[in-house]
Parts: sequence; C-alpha cells; structure tokens
Amino acid sequence: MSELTYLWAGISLLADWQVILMMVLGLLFGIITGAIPGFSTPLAISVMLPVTFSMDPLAAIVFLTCIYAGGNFGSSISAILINIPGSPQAIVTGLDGYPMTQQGRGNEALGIAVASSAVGNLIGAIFLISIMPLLVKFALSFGPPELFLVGVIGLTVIASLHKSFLKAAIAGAFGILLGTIGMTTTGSTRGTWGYYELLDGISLIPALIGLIGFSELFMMLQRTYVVGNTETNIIDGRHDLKQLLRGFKQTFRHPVTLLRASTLGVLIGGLPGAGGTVASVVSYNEGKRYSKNGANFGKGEPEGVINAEAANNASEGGALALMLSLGIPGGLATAVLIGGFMLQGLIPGPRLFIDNPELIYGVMSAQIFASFMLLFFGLIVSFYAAKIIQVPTIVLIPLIALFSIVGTYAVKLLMFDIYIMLIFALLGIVLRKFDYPLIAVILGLILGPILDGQLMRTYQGAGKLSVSIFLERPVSIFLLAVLALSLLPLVVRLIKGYLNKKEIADG
Amino acid sequence: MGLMPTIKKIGFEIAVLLLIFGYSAHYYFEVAALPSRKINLLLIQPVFFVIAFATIALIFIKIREVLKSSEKRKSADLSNDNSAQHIVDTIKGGIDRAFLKNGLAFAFCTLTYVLVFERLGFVTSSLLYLTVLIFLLGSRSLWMTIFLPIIVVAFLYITMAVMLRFSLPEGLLF
Repeated sequence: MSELTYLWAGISLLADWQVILMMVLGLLFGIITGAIPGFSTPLAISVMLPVTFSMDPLAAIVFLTCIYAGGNFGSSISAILINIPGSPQAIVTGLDGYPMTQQGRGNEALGIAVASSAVGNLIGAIFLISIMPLLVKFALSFGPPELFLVGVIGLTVIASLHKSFLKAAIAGAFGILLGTIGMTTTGSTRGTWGYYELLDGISLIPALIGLIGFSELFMMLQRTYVVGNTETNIIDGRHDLKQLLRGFKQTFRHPVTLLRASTLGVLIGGLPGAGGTVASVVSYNEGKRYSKNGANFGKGEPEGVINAEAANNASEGGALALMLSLGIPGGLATAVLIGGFMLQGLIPGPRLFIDNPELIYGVMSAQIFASFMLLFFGLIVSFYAAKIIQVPTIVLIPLIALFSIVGTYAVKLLMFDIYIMLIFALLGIVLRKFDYPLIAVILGLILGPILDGQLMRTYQGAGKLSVSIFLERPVSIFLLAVLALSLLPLVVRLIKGYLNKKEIADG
Repeated sequence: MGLMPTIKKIGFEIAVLLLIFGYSAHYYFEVAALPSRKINLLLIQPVFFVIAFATIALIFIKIREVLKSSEKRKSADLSNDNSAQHIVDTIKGGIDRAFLKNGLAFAFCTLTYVLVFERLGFVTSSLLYLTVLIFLLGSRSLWMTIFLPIIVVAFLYITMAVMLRFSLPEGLLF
C-alpha cells in the first residue's frame, strides 16, 4: 500500500465517536491543566497514563497527544495573565503577553495566542505527515558536536533580550552551572551537597515555579490587582469577547511571521533535547530581528506573542516526528508519551511504521483535527480564564501559592522539591530586585545539561577538543553560520553602545 | 537619588554579585577536585571564567557610578534639594513598610505551611494556610477567609487525591 492509502486508512479510523470524544477531552484537560501554574504538560500526560490503560490504542494515544497539544497552548494563558508560565515553553510568551495584560489588553493577547497556537499546531501536523522522513534523516546526522552547537545557539539568544549584556551573561552562566549539578557521564557527582535527590540534577519544574512564579507573587504583593492598583485598570467585562476576537483576527494579518515561526518551531522541535522552549526563544529572537516593531518586543508587542506561540506549538510536530520514527524523546512530554505507547504494547521507532501504519497515520492526522478544535476550545477556555485577573491579589496570591506548592509536590511526591522551589523563589526575588534577566537563568538551567553532556561526548569521541572538530562536517559548518548570525546583532549593539558612550564623553 | 542611598543600593548589588561569584567559585573548585578533572571541567571552566570576568567588570562599572554620583553632588548646589529628597525618601519608606509587612506575612505563612504540610496533612495545613494568609493580607470578608479556602481545598482534594489518586499527606483529617 502507498503512503496515501495508509493516510486515508488512518483518517478513517478517526471517524469513531470514542476517538473524537477522547480528542475533545484531551484538549480540554490539556488546556485547563496547562493554565494552572506548576501543572506542566508532562505532568498532565503522566497523571492520565493510568486512565488510558483500558482504552483502545488509537483513542489512548490520540487522547495523550491532544493533552500535549492543549497543554502547549494552555501554559500560555497563565504566562499572559499572571506572568507565571504553566510550562517552560511559555516563558517567552509572557515577555510580551504579560505587558499586554498590564496595558489592559490581556484578552487580545489570549486571542493571538489561540490563533498562533492553532496555526503552529496545524503546520506542525502537516509537517509531521509530509516531511518527516527528511527531518529524521537530517537529525540522524547530528552528532555530539552539532547538538552542542544547537545548545550554544539557544544561549546566544538570551544575550539580546536584556539591556545589560554583563548581567545577562552572569545570569545565563550561573544558570548553566546550576544546570550541571548532579551525576556526570564519568560517574562523578557535582554540587549535590550530599543530597541524593540532586543526583539527577535540579528538577526543572520546582526551579521554574520558584524562580518565575513565587518571585512574581512577591512582586504582586505591591499591587491590589494583577494589572494595577485600581479596578479601572481591569479589562471591562463587556469588551472581553470583542478583544479576544480582535486578537484572534489580528494574528492572521501576519502570515509571514506565522509561517517563519512555525517552520523554525518544527525544525527545532525535531532536534533531540531542544524542544518547545528553545524553539520559542529562537523564533522570538528571529522575529525581533525581522519585525518592523522589533524595538517594541518585550513591551507588549503582539508579534512577540505570535512568534513564541506558533513556534512553541509547531515544535510538537517536530518532537512527535522524532519520537515516532526514532523513539527518541525530544523533551519531557514526549518521554512521557513513549510511556503511553508502551502501556499499549507499542514501541515507538521505525518498526512501528512497518507494523502499524494505519495507527500511526491516524495519530498524526488527529493532530490536524486537534488544531481546528483548539481554535474553538482555546477561545472558550481563554474567555473564562481571563476573569482570573479580576480577582484581588490578596486572594489570588494565596491561591496561586497553594496551587504551586501542591503542583510542585505532585510531580514526585517529594518535600525536597518544595524546598528547591523556595530556594529558587528567593533567588528569583533577589535577581528581580537587581534587574537580572530570569529567562537567562532558566535557559542556562535547561541548556546546561545538554551543553555539558554533548561537550563531554564530543571530547570522548575525538579524544581531544579543538575547533577543527566543529569544522569537519557540513552540518556543523551550517550550524556555526547560524551561530555567527545569532551573535551578529549582539556585536553590533555592543559596538553601537561603545561608540555612543565615546561620543558623549568627547562632548 | 542621594549619595548614601546610591552607595547602599550599589553595596547590595555588589554583595549579590559576590554571592553568585562565591557559589560559582566553590562549585568550580569542587569539580576541579574530582577524579576526571579535565572532562568534568570542559564546560564548567569557561562558564566560570565568564562569571569571573563579568563580575569584575560589573563591580568596576558600579564603583565608577558611585564616583560619578559623588562628583555630581559636589558640583551641584544641593542645599535646597535636601528637604525635598527627605520627603521623597520618607514616602518611599512608608510604601516599603506596607510591602515589607505583606511580604513578611507571606514568607512566614508559606514557610510554616511547608514545615507542617506533612505533619498536619494536606487538608488541615492548606485550610489554615489560606485562611491565615488571606486574613493577614488584609481581607476581613467571611466569604474570602473561610468559605473560599474550604471550596478550593475541597476541589484540590477531590481532583488530586480522589480522582487522580495522588497520595497527598494525610495527617490529622484525611
């Protein structure tokens, strides 16, 4: 049978009411839990794993992948409304989404996020079905030096997000050091202070909740409402829907941005270990570079939200391509999804295509339908979620704090994770107070283990470490060129700053 | 900003920088003492050097800021400005005190909650946490301080412990 026949057979399998119901429930569960700070997408998928045990394989896998799609969008709701991303991949969405909320345009930002997420998801799904074999071939050619370069490219992006390069460098480097805590490939333990809970490194979810969430709650104490001190700053309930739809429509006026961000998202999502967070950061930076309104990025620019959300959701297509064809998890969420496949007696990898082509094409086609459903359910959930900012902070702060603490505990049922969260909250408060970019620490924390692991593998593979290792293959040279391009705006900014200072000094 | 507040602010900033540098140096030397020194330091060493260089550069910039601020104060006639600055500082101090009070209440309640979470159990500790914290932050409404915490804790308990079967700490009540 040809690929098209399998595709049609897969689509036909979706015409079952149980599968459609599971798609709707999965999306809703993903969006709602994604919007709860601390309830990350991997956590949402993992708590539903036992529920899928008794289901039909297609319904079960489609249910889990729809939670993944819904969670990717849902995490942007809390990032936009209260600057607390539900999952790491929504950090960048908050950079412009939250300022929009502070300007009384929270619903507009949510409308943009819904449309961008759905388009990103759709492009990711089309990519998943059509170009997957090519991507798999390309990703397979990546060795440790190339994966190290991908990590470095991700890091260079944060330097351009803050006005002080030195502070961004300190924050990013500090994040990398924290990210390398734990056991190395050589079997040594670093920076664990004797705590066995740190052998696998600092858990990202507690660190994220503490650094971004809890420290934000302290800042929120200074305000009566999330968006200010008076009720007049709050979105007028009568205009909620209008604003939501305006943002929704506005997104489609940026087709080039949508396409560029989604393509970047898909490509980066397909790289092992990179995932939605790196995809959204890289896309945001590229968007800032190409946009006419680049200077407004970080101050409530709608294009910033489009870049982050489209890439973040499109990355799912790439990550699924990698997982389904090679069995390699691109991130935490796909790692948990592999568990879902295994519960059904299926092992992701090339054999899965040969043994169950209809099932795999059914799972992939479901992503296209999920994108259209996301447009509808995303708008409904967003409309009601926006009411959260009308709650006074004296109630909102204790509630978010409780959800965050319980969410942190629920990941591994460990009190240690709560202590980690509190330590990172303290760090977040101090860094905020002295204007260090928190995103740099978080990105360092995520990329630190990738950079460290790949650099060690590069060294162990070649028996030495030299620049020539990164110049041996065309793939590395291509990535080096991308790295140079990413560094160019920073170099230009530093030179401009130096020249300006010199001019002022010379009078 | 006057000279003393500037020095104070920059002093705190340098203290934070030194803390970050201190932790990084401790981590670097810990890794350097490990058996496979060269491999373990592959990434740590350049990253530590970045922190060291950036810390020195930033401290240098901050000290220069203090010196510049001092020079400006000397050259400008600030005798009339003192009273106005004093009023601004007093107002700022007042705002900080209110923020400090709420911040301390939040920190105290959260730390206590975390410490008694396992001993008292999820339901009792969470109910107490929400009620006391909402009260301390300024709400005197019966709905917000009593009924809302009961609804929220019941919702969390039903979804997490009953439906999703998370084994939350039991303690006194459940």
